[in-house]
Amino acid sequence: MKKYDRIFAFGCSFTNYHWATWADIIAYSYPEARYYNMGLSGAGNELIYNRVMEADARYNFTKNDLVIVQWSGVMRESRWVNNETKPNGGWTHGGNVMLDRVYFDDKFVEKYVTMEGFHLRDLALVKAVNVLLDLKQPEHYNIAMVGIKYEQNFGDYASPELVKQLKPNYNMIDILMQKYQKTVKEIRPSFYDHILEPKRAIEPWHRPHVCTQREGIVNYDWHPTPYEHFTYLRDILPEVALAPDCDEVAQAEDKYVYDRFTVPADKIVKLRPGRFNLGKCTDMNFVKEYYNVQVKFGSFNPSKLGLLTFNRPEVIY
Amino acid sequence: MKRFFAFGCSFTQYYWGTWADIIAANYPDWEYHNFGQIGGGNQLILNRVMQADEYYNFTSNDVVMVQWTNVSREDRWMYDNQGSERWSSGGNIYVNDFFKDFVERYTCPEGFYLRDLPAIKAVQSLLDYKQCYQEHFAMVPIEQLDQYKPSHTPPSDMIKHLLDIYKPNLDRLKPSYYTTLFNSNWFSRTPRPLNPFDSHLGIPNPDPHPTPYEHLLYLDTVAPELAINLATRALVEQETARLLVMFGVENWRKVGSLKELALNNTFNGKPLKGGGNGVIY
Repeated sequence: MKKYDRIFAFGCSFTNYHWATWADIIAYSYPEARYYNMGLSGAGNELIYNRVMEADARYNFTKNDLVIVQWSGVMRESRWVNNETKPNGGWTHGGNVMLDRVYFDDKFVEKYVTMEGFHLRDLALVKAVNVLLDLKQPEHYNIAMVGIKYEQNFGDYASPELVKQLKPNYNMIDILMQKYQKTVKEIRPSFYDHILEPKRAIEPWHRPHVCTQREGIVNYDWHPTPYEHFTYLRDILPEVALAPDCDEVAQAEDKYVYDRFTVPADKIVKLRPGRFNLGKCTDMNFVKEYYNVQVKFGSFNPSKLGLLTFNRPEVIY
Repeated sequence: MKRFFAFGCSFTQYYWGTWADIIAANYPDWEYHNFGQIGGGNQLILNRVMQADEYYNFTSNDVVMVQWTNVSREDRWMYDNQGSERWSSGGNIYVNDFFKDFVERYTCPEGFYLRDLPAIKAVQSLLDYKQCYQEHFAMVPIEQLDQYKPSHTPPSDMIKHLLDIYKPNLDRLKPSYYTTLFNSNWFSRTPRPLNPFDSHLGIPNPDPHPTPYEHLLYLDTVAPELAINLATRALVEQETARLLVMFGVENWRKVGSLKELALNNTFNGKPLKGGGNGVIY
């Protein structure tokens, strides 16, 4: 197998999550390489681009490095703010800006957000990252959570009504996609297109659960499970060889994730019928505990659990 | 034929000739593209450089010059108050009413630096990769948050840290207009033309934007290798004299409003066209 000095992973929650992602599986396969996972849940492409630039400024990518960038949904707004949501300064990273009501409100979306503007912004940033990587020549790849063009898929979902309020200028988006076609071609098929959308079509859904921290609302978790991450790498990024036991480890870890991240039926009270909402968890201690777990790939043995931190860089904004 | 691409804010594309127009006049056989935008910030500059490369595919035969502006600006493609879609680009965010609520809630100095310093790195990386001849000018020193006044408080640790991380990129910027030409006071040089679009009680304010002559002085100071010839110098002096009359008090008293004159002004007999030249947003 090829050797890398360092592995750099960038992205959103599809890169850095409660359980192992594609990035952790690659790091597991190259134990000699120093591993930097710079993913952040809810991150938009501005944050991802920003961290790539900063990482190169700090660590100076070389030909012996592996850099993989996982692009997120276009309809996100990542800003470094210093307000009551981030009293010590920090990124806004609440996912789709049309739905994120932690950092933004309806007024913000109405006044400052256009779908075509977000495409105009993000396509330039994807290009900027690729130019940097072409210049510095680490081995590098672009992968994606969803297609870079915002579609009405459930990948980074907002209802058609919300989208309509933005009065999208699809003509301008098409012009931009055409203009940046060379850049867009650099991005491999997305997790949603390759893995998740086909699974969504088959009901009943079989997924781990996710709980909202404040209210304990239980939903299906459509983040790829470890085995789905493994499958994605195997199919979409065959250039990066994985350790021979990855399949086996990923299967075992998947089982653990389903066990650990499923709220037992006796702890859920139904709220109202609906596909996207399983109900409310009656045990808030259980919910609290939910977020105290991070499963490092290859360490799924429950006795080793607790707060296992990934090999994060010392300082990165 | 060599191609010359200029990017920046109103110091690059304005109602009278700028450094970019002077260089274009000095090298008449260069194909000239000015993508400056009045009020544009560094995000717009980054965006337009990337778009321009997609459209024109820069080569090692191209000349690309970028004039960076102050970091406290917000470039968003959105609907304006008249319902038209365009870059918001209202210049310095601290004096822009449109963004008042936005500034209070969604901006901080650290955020501006964290956002804009990578833009400079990104553009330099592209131009390095394409092996273009490149120059990087600056309106104000990058450390200066507000274009109108030097900061009286030292930058936070985070800003100092960021300036340090991106130092190799910032070292490639030429000294700014503000320090080299204006001695850290935009109104230190006289006479100043009147600003066609900025007035107080109906009387136009003096315009701090450099005159063509001041742009020439800047180029002579920070980029003498551009070798502006005597014919261009004569043109610049002539254009400067013309605009000081056109945008002078006497003329304002005579015509009432200078807006129409500004919108139809020329440099070297050619119209001053901004706004992306129609091929990029």
